Amino acid sequence: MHLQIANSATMAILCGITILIVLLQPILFITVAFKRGKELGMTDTEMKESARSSAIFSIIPSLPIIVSYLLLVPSLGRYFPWLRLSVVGSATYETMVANMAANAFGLESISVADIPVEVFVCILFVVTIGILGGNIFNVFFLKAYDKKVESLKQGNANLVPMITTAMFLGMYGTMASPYLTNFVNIPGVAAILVAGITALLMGKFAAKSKKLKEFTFPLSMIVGMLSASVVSVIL
Amino acid sequence: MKEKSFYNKIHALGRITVVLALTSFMGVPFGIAVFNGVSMNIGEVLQNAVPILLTFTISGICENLSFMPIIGSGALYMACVTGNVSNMKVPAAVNAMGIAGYDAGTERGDVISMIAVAASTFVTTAIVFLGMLFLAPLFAPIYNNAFLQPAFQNMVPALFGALLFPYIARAPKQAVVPILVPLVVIFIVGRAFFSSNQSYIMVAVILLSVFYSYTLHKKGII
Repeated sequence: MHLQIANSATMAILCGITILIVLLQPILFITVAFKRGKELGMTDTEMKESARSSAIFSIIPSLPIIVSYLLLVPSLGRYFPWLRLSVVGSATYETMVANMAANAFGLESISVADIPVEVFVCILFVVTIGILGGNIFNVFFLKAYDKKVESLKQGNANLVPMITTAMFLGMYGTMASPYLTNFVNIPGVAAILVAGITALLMGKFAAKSKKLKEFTFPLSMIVGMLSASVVSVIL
Repeated sequence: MKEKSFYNKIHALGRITVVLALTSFMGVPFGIAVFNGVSMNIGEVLQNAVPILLTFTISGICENLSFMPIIGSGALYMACVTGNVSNMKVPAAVNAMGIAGYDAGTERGDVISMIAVAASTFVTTAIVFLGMLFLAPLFAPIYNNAFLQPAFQNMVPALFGALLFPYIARAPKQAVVPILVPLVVIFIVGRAFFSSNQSYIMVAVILLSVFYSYTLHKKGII
């Protein structure tokens, strides 16, 4: 019953329109960025290069998303998971929250064959609302925070690269540490180390070639991923 | 100093597009209810949605506060709407700034970040669209291939390694504390506690890292 609605043309159209509206944002921002870049004396070539290198890099991390799409289809239909995975959230989030909501409405899980339509609509609402917090924060408070950060930077312009490097190291140092210490998952430890060392080696060679520089990051990532496969075979 | 008008423009554009996006997100369940004549129990929806919203909001705010100084507001508005912020959008932006040779936190860096995050968004949206149309069942056997599966399962650590190591090499003295402290913390508090509180720990480590770098600078070490 609920799958009829989930796979209906109405659902397809609603999700499609939403994704088109979401895409307006990067279209507008990239236009503004190119314009501003030119005002700041940046060249078209370097800006296009940034777009291209980011597009190339993003292919690999996008692929697992479409596999997780398949996991959501049996319970949520074809279109709603398409929307949800195109926007904020992740397969883990959607599955977890959809299950929590299903439980709250008295269902065993989200994978039961027939969800009453009223409950299904409630589940869609809960999944949608649950993850909006970061965006709501941005709408109300990001400007003020940005202003604060700008005022801190003022007069300390020469310190900005040092501070942002420190922030970046703190951020990814924290995010990387669970992988560096996960000795149950040796392929994961191999992946992070091999990818890192490859990036360093390629960085040395890439100093001479701009073209290679563009591919250093995605290629190092792929080498690291493959090392996880190789280590798994050896183990 | 960034120009005032550009700063205002970015925030106006960000706010309008985010509100538009969030409204259309809500429009999907709402439209489904209306078109199918389903009565909505708003009280029941909120009762279930609000606790989840609060949980994710707190960690979301911590992350946004951390990311903004690196990738800039324009890129962050976009990244948060489409998600995969720490494992795709921020790395794409940081990598693009590195290639172009602009520092994070400068206006040129912000411009590059916006371009990078927009390009990344286009690619992901296109791939997910193709996945929905026909690609997902075709790609699944490759993903589940016995040899390749560990590669895909360990994509995130590989990404972090490729992103982080060049930065450590570039600023080895600055890297000591932000790399070692989380490793020590994880051994003290345990993996489970660490992962469920990672966004808060991250904010603490960032502050510590900035303080440490600043001290190094004051002492003339860097």
